[in-house]
Amino acid sequence: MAFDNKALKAPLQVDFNLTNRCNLECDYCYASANERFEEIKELKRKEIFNLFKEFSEIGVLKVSFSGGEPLLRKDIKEIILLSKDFPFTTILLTNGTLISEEIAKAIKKAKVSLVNVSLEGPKAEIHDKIRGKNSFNKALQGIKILKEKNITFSIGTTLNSINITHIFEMIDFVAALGAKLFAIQVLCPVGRIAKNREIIPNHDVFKNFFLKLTDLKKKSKLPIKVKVNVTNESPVFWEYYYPLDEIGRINDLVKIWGVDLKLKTGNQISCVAARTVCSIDANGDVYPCEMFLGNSLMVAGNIRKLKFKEIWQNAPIFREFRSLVKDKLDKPCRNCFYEWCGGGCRAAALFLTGSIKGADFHCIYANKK
Amino acid sequence: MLIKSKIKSIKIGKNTFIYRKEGKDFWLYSPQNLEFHTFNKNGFALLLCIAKEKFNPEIIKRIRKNTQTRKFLDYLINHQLVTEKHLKKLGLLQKRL
Repeated sequence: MAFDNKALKAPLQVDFNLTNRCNLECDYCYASANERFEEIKELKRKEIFNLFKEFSEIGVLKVSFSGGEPLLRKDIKEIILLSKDFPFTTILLTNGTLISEEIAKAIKKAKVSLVNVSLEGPKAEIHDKIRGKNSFNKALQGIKILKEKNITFSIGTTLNSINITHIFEMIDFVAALGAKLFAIQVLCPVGRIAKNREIIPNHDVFKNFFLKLTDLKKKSKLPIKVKVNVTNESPVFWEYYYPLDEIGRINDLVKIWGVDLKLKTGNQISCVAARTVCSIDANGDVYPCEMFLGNSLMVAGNIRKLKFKEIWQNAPIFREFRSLVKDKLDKPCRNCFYEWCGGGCRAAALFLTGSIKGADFHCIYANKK
Repeated sequence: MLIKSKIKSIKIGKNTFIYRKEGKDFWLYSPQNLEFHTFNKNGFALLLCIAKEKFNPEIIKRIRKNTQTRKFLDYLINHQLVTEKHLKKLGLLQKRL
């Protein structure tokens, strides 16, 4: 996405937590699923339908169904089918273990553009270590059903200290599965991760990994499209540029990863929360982005009480996010000599410093200063 | 069901994209490569010409002369919004290859 971080009249993307229940319990769940288990408070189908209507009216382009595990909802097929008549694009994020023939049929019928299945490694022993016993085989079974129904799917992996040494093996594995994309998500220290930070790969390990991946991509030796997703897919984060910059190959950001170096952030911050995206929790609470889920101080409003449009345009917490500029951030992000970063992740800053204006101390440069 | 919406769609070659206008900008989402893009009115007007495959010779001449526009076409190709083959078919790339 081009770097134009102004507030819009409507978000481009809404991440929609359909439930906080989950049949797995991963150590690094950003949503702290299961801990916020309140089925009775989940939005009802009629409320979701009304929300879809509002999304269409104001021009939300993409809705991402997530959770918890969204397929745990008894009415998930009906919800997916509800989206069929609306003009926005939908994607579904799932752990894959509950994909049935019936659910796959609904996905196909509703023209969900992509199903992203989470796999943490190319083998059961790695995946199950993170996601629980027998979850690997169940996820593969789900993927098999998606393939049989000719449904476009991607594989998402959360990069961590357990699976980082298996990622290159995994690229071949994911390509062989027939996925459209392999999305490698960089961990952000929020939710359960904040309590399990040892699961975040250290900087040297990440640097070696990222440089090797960049070289393979450069030589067109990757058998599948591989994307490294920094938090909330913000355009320019330090995770992308620091390994390349340290060895004088910053231009590979443009050539290899398609990040436009003209995108100097100036005084803008790079966080897209409440500017182009937002997140809706299972009970209708609206947050600046999914990384803030469950933090009551970050709730912008609830769609049971207010129209979504009104929350997006007027919520004080959203206005506060939109007023953030680099000059207003705490040191060292405020006076960092890097022009590309834009201050890192605001959710990480909140978890690590207690303030959305804090420094992203997850960043190696911020820690050095 | 009649749905009011600000979302429109545009078919370029074989792919369909959705977009909306906000202020002077156009925001487009590509379900094919899962990316958002923003265009100003000139960029979007050119994209519409490509989608409709309608150009008058003056426009083609201007595109070939204008470095910024050629960069724009490169952006479209790099981000898989159009294919090089499609642009060649429309006569937009011949001079620079």
